[in-house]
Amino acid sequence: MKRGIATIIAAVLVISTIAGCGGSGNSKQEESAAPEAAADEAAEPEGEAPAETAGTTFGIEPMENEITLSLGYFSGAMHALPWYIMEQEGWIEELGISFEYQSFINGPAMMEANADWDIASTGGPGAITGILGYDIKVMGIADKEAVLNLYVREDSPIYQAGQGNFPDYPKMYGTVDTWKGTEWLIPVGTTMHQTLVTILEQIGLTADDVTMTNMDVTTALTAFKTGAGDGLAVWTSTAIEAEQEGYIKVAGADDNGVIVPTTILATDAALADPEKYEAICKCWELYYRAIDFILADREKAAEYYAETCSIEGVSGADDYDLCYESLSRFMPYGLEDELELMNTYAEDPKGTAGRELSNGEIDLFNTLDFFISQDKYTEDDRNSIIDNEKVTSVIAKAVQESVSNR
Amino acid sequence: MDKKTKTKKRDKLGRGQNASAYTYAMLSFAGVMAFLIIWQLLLVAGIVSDRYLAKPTELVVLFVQKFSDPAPDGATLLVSIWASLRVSLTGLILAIVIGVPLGLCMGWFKALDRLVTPIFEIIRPIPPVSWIPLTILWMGIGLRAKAFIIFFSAFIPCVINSYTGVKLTNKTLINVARTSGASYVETFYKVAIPSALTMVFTGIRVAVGNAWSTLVAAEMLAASAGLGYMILMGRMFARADIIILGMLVIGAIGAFFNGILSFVENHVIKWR
Repeated sequence: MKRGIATIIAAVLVISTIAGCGGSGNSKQEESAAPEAAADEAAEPEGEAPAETAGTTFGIEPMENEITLSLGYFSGAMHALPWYIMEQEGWIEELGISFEYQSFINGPAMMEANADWDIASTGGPGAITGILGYDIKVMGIADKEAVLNLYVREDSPIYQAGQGNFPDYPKMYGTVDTWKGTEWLIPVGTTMHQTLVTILEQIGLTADDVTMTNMDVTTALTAFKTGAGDGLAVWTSTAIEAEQEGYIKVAGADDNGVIVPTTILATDAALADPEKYEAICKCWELYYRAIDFILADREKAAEYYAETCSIEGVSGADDYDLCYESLSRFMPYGLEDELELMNTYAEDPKGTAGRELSNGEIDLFNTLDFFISQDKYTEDDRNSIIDNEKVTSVIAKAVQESVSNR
Repeated sequence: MDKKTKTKKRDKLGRGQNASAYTYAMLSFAGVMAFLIIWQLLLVAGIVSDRYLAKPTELVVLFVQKFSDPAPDGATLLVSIWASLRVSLTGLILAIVIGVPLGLCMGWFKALDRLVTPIFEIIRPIPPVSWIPLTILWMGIGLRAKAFIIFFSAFIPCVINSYTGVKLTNKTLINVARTSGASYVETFYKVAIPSALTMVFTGIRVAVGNAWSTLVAAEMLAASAGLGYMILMGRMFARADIIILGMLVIGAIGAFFNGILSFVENHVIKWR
């Protein structure tokens, strides 16, 4: 009898579980179908209201309902500064948008955590990881990252050899022999990796001629202080800190003409949500307007930069003078330039794409092609990015239309 | 006759029948194969995206390829294995050499127990990874630093198990030894240590597992080669196949060490 009752209870539980699962699955399917349809509609050009009716700083129509976007924020990076400025200047608030910050200190980690953010900015290598491995799209190029520096200690043979030994790179220190065989503390697979290897190639060396010890920039600086490694390869805020520590810059992306783009991105999930899509379009425009602000008022921008570094706990980088100096090396695209970059097309430099590429795609493919040359990615990866339009001009087109209609 | 005996042992449901070793081996093999086939089918059918998981067949190809191809992490598989073995074995051997005698002595000598236990109890819950920042300051980023992280993960089970093994020594055996005129120290190495050996080996077995599982964290500290580094580079370049291969090789090496340990254990504690 007991066994019979137990069997009946078990059967009821099993049936109800199956029924429950089926139910939720269906509803989820219905839910996911709706945003896709809505996203298609949202992809159509927006009809923004004229400036005089919008009543906002740039005449952008506010959101109908207030919305919060989760922002992947790269602590201490200059390409993250426009997000902070648009919030501090109150531009997103007047549009009914707010940010929820998710802070990261490197691109690949940010890409892995893509479920936690809607929009973000990161370096080219991090973006490539994201668009290849996850449901993420690059929707714009932020800047040509310039503060990607290589440092040594004062007693380093590279520094002791002095400048001027490489006629094409007069600011670079050392000789081929002093560079050869050195150990560099570096975040491998990032913009720093591209910078170091390109600089080595400029003087006739390869990646195999040095040892690259993989470390996060902040950990690398700590280790360098204890005497580890011959050189330190670090970016933006950590570079500022390295300079404060008295380390000598012996080469850098700016001095050596290494072009490494940074990007702004959005997740496919956010782009498929009609409300978020609309908010992303508005933030895209504000991002580049914030860059115009930085270019027009470097003093105020440096204040914001020092402030955000302080909030994010980027030690040493909250010094106003150093922030000001760093921003003088910032090479971003303003709104006009970015619209042109993303909305104009040219032949694929490699000639394998089978279609014209936007100039934004070509910028990013400089970095991708570098990593392909280092056997980190393959031609198949490149084709996959092109075929799946992982670098999209859809937002840039929508903003272009919106700005023209204003 | 044999068959008849076996039949007699069965109950109504057929339970209790002892199959041959061959049958059991085949069952294990079938289990592994079924797992791999389901894994492959999930990917072939597109139920799981190949961006997140590599097919077993692709992993076999990659495994062979990695013996000669350093891409994308910059080292062939043998170079990576050797780099990781150096780190993990250095940390593990140090942990065994220091941890086992310390645990045995703590279990036997009360004064040492009282002296060391409070410090040990504070250190014990600290995750090995949290030692990384201090390790960099104290030891830099070389082999010593990475081995130190591994040491901490392996040291704790060595001490605890050795300590417990001595504490669980049968009191009757101790009394017999003492009554027969054995000194306190003599009783320790002639009775307590042999009695604790089973627990000591269990501790070492756990330590081996911990050492390999901490490897990725230790190589996160700083590395230019190694299995943990290979996994990190797989992560950096969105290569799920490289990540899974690194994991499987770590698992296989761990299982290999476990096998060696079982072999040594069976020979050292034959009387068990």
